[in-house]
Amino acid sequence: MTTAPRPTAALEAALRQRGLLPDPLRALPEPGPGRPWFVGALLGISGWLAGLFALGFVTLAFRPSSTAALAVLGLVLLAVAFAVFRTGEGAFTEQGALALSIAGHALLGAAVYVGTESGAATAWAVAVLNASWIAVVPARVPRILSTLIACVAAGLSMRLLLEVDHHYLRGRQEEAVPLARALLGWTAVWIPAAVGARALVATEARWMAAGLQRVLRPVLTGLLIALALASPASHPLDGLAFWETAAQRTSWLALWPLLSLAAAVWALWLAHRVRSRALMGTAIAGALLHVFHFYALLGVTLLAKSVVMIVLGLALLGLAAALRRQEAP
Amino acid sequence: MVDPATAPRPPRRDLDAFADHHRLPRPAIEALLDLAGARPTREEDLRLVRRGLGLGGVLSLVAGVVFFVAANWEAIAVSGRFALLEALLVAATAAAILRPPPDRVGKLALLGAFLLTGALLALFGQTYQTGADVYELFLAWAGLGLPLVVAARWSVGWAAWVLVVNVSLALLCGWLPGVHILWTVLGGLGLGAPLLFAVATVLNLALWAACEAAAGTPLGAVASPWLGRLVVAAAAGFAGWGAIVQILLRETSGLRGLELGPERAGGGALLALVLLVAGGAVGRHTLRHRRDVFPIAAVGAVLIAVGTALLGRGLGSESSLEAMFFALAAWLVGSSTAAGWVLMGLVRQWRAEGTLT
Repeated sequence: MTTAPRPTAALEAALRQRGLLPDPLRALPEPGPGRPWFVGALLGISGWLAGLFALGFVTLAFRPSSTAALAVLGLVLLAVAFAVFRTGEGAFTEQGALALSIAGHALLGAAVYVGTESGAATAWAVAVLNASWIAVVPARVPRILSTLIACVAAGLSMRLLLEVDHHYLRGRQEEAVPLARALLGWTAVWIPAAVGARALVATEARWMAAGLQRVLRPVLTGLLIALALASPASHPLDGLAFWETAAQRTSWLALWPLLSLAAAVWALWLAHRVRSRALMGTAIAGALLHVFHFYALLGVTLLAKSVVMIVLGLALLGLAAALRRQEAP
Repeated sequence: MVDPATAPRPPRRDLDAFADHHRLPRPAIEALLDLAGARPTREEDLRLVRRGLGLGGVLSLVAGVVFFVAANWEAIAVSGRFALLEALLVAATAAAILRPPPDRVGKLALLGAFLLTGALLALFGQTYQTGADVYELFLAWAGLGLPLVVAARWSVGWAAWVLVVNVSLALLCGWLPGVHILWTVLGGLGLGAPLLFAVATVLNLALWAACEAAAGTPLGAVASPWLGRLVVAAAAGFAGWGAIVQILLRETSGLRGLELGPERAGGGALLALVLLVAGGAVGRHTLRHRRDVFPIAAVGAVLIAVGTALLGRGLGSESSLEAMFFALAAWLVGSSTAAGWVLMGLVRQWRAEGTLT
């Protein structure tokens, strides 16, 4: 069997020549497991589903109903998951710990909801809990999942906080949330996420030098997935509707998916900057989904949306032509 | 010594591990990222922007045209709408003739022409109320647009075509079995929805086989590895969907096309046989060529999904909910761990052998 040379071997030699390796006597690291994205996705989705079934088991077995009972049970599960993550070895224990941690997070979220009866407070708590979990959990897939869930929860919490009249509870006959307030809710979550992802890409060498790659690499991945796919979580509720049963009313909410489209395009750019084809593919898929969402919403006439898309298309093609002319000798 | 400029580009995780192992300071990491080509050059940035603007522009423009057709604007007569779409189609085709592929303009023009073909068919259906089902529209679109996709010689064009074919199959699988006249005939033979899922799976696997056959030939650039993954993922999707429907919903009378009583059990057996043979063929081919682990992962995902459905059905009627939830959680943890272990073993082995692409 032939053995392929490790790509890092050439890099090590080149760095040695430049005198940039601080300890030339240290042996080269063995190649890491190098988990492809789809294996991570398989493990993540399976672990998440297992967590939901574990939640069902724990809920039926212990039947917690009070805030305290839910919180204690959730904390116990998280503590067990944390201990297993820290001490356990092997993929099986890690998958089991992932399932337990998901069930634990759900129980703690339920505890906050039972205690506060506030959707916004619950979503905030879930966001904070997941952000904290990122800092302590020593595994890649849970960090990606927690970043994604934290972004979605932050989006939901901001929306629920701003919809002070609880428009979402009163049904679709009510007036839509005011434009400025809804825009504020979207930008307050997704602009920081976009800026944060950009900052992580720009300061990559700095945090790698600080030894933070185990934490910040999955955070960057989670942020880019969230930007590509999850920003509809911040859409006002009417903006998530597809086919109206009531009279089709004119509403700016139908233009909302264009914001998500912009977020997905930004994720595409940043994924390109870190040379991740999997994340670029995710961003492209997200962008196509947002365009379909835009088509399916009926708040604005299809004619108006047609004009928007045609103008956008002509503008993009014009820019492409201008760029081509500029580069031509 | 291996030259970093010509060596395969190491993934970020290898660079992370390398930097961590040597505790490199920032200047060394900057040099590492530069040497490894981990950051796109300005030329690569510009290429992405150029391609993105061109592709985004064509897709937005065609989406606008599709929206326009759907709007059914009365200010323009039917003949005017047809003329508009046909003029655009002619313009796109003319652009492709003037600047044929592999020129980027030609590729984009043919992609636009393919998408406009669908819009034209939709307008035809909307105007003349042909009574055709939606899946027939997509199938006709795929058929009529095939020459344009072939002429484009571009993986993106093929991806659009694959998407259209699979939307058609998904519509057919989701809605029609049991009510279409075709199924009246096939149903009498004991073949119902399972046959359809089997056909959709096999069709996608045939496309995957074509992509695999193209690898290493001049057509390899057209049948990119990601295109092969797309069709194998679609095949896995239909296989898993069909199997789960067969396991969990076959006695559900409220769903059209799924009333598969004992007299149609042959369909389920056929689907199982097809899935076993197809999974075996995918596994055998992938293990022989050792280029990509993705197809094995897709087979693994189907097995996990089917196992979950079987376990849920088996325990659902015979044990408590607690026991069922516990067993399902344990199964998912165990089976996904085993799948991850097998897949990572293959990745390590094939990477060491240098066969992994």
